[in-house]
Amino acid sequence: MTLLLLSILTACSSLFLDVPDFKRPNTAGEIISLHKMGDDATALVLISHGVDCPVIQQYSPIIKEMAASFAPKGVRFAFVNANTQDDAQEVAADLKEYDAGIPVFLDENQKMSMALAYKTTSETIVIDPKTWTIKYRGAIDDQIRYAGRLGKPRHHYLKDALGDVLAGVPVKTPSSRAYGCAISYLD
Amino acid sequence: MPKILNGRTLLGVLLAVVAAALVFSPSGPTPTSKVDDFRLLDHNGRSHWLGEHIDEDRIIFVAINHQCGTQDALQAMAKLQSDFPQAPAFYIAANPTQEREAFKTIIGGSNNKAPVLMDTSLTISRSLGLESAASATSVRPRDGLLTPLLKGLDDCQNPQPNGSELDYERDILPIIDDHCLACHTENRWVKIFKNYRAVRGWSQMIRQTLRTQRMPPGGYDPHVGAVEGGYTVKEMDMLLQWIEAGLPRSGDNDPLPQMNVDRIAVQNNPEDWGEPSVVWSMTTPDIIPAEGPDVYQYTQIAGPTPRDIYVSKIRMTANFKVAHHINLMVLDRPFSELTEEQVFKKGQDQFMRVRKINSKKGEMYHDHEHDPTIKVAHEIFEETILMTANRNKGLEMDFLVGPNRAIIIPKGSYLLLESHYGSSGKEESSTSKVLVFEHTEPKAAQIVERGCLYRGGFKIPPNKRRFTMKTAVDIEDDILLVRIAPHMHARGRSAKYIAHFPDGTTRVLLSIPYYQYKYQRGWEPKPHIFLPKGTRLETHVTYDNSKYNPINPDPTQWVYNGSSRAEEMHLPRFHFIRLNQEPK
Repeated sequence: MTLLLLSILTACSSLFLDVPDFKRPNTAGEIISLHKMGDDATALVLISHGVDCPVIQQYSPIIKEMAASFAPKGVRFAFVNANTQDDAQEVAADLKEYDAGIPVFLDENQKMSMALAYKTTSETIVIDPKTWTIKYRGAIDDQIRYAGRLGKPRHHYLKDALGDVLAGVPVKTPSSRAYGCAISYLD
Repeated sequence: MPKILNGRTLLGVLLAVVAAALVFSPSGPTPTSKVDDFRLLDHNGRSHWLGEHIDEDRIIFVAINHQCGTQDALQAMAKLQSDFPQAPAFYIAANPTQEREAFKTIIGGSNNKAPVLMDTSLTISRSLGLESAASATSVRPRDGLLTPLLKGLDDCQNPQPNGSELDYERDILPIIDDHCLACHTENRWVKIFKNYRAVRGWSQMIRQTLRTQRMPPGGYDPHVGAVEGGYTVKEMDMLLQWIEAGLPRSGDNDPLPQMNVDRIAVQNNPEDWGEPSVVWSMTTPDIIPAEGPDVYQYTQIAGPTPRDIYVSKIRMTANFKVAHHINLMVLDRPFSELTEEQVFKKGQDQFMRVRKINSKKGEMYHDHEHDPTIKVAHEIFEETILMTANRNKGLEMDFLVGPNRAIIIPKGSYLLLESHYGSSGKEESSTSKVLVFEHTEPKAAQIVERGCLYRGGFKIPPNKRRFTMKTAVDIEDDILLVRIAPHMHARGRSAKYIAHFPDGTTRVLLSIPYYQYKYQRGWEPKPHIFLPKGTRLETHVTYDNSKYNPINPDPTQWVYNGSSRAEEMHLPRFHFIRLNQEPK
């Protein structure tokens, strides 16, 4: 019975999952709240972060540019770092290098990332804060693969998903495969 | 850090459970089991990648053992191939010693043909839920979902990986030191190996790169023969088994930080080569913008050279945050005399014309009279590229010709730097420098020659999944082959180098079943290979111009031969020593 319930939940949970509140310290040690961040936002973009991950590093200018261009429309960006090997100073230094100015949830016990079902850094979730449902999960775009980098992206998944959410229409591509650095969930 | 969690509602608990189920794959074959991506070589040395089958509904895997239950596995395959005629099917053999020859015989004599995947680490079969001979499972490639099909034989169990008996300090650190640390020290790329804590935090990433054979880079088949700096299958299997077993260690002692310090000290202070006798440097830096497509920059840094230079060692530096590679090319005329049209004309590579002009015979290739698929070159063309440095080799790359060996840069040469840059997300500048250390006794030195077996003029149809080409050259002197460097672009998939000796025997010299464009490696056979006069040196290469190649810029287009990254190349390079001849 548990198994059946689990498989049903597994089948339909990666999308349309209600997102509870999470409170975590940022790199300055201040506690930040996910739901509070959503109070004045039209959409939330949560990106799994890891220090020294080449994929995140390559995406940094794109994330920075998107965060700035969608800010006037009420979209807020945040990182979630679940890496047990990254300490707050390292995370701050990693983000500072790109001057992103995007808050980070330091998810030291990894429970926030587990609940959000992140498998890899750079995996991106778009949340509608009116309903706290997940509208998109996957890659920022399809430019970066493990084998290399395409000259330019063929699909702008995140940009398109945000456009749909802001327009109040269903997201046409609600999921994609994210390439990044696999997260190690440790006990 | 305070643990503040607002997840104590029933929903929150459920979410956590669901998330855990999504993240962790249970070990047993339950209906919700999933298998993570993997890549394995088969009994013929070909590379197979689960991720490539993304559009298939299912793939069948049947466990096979060459010593017990073999017939049961063959029968299981027959049944499943008939039940699922559309599904790609593979045998998988959990066996540390591979037994490729045994499986060639077994499969060759059977009607139920399928590649036998060599699961030498024993961990891939387990992750598929296959525990014994003739057990079978179906995988849905788009998400790895497993559906067990056949239970298998109780009395022919797969051997178990012994990762729990491995120890971090005793067994694993030597492997990390030999094969990982050169690139992943604290001052280089992705500081995975800072200390045990970092290794643990990166363990799932390490596991993934090992399972998919993306690391160590280069995708060569160690089964074929040893190469300088190469790894063994056993070493990588131990690393994977150790991670699967939860990274066991016998105490708290962690020598890894000190190993980083030692390695960095060596990297920062390479052996004292004395003062270089020649230094060539770019006078203005190349500026690489934060974003944008890859660019090639060409800079003539010297010429004409006033005398023959007998090169013993070279050190090349560049900003390898952005430099994909730099090539030092030796031209027989100033770069300015090569027009842009000559250099970049589509479908041809006019750098090769330098070689054509230098060569004695006009025509590069003729059809082999016996096998029309093979183009045979009259000779190995003199190589323009003196050396390559790339980011995977470190912040600077040293190239040693070897003791008592030298490469000649002839008098009157022009030196050209070809720099291939890719953006890093930040604007960067790069000023390349070439330090040349000359041989102290040039008369006594063995001369290392450089050659390439370039084949131009080919084109690859759109959506072509396997485009194969064969080229060959008849070796006209006794030579000692000291280095082979495949070169293809983003569609390059595999490369194999084969010698047909005058006595009628054949030997595979080097096989790269999983060519990785990202890592332009050269391979030095250990020991060097003697090729007597009359040997035919053959290259077999394949390209993937389909959508299943993840870095294919555009699978819908014809791809022409050319030097730009969007085009395709076949340019294997060879370093060799001509024996029984006076040095030039």
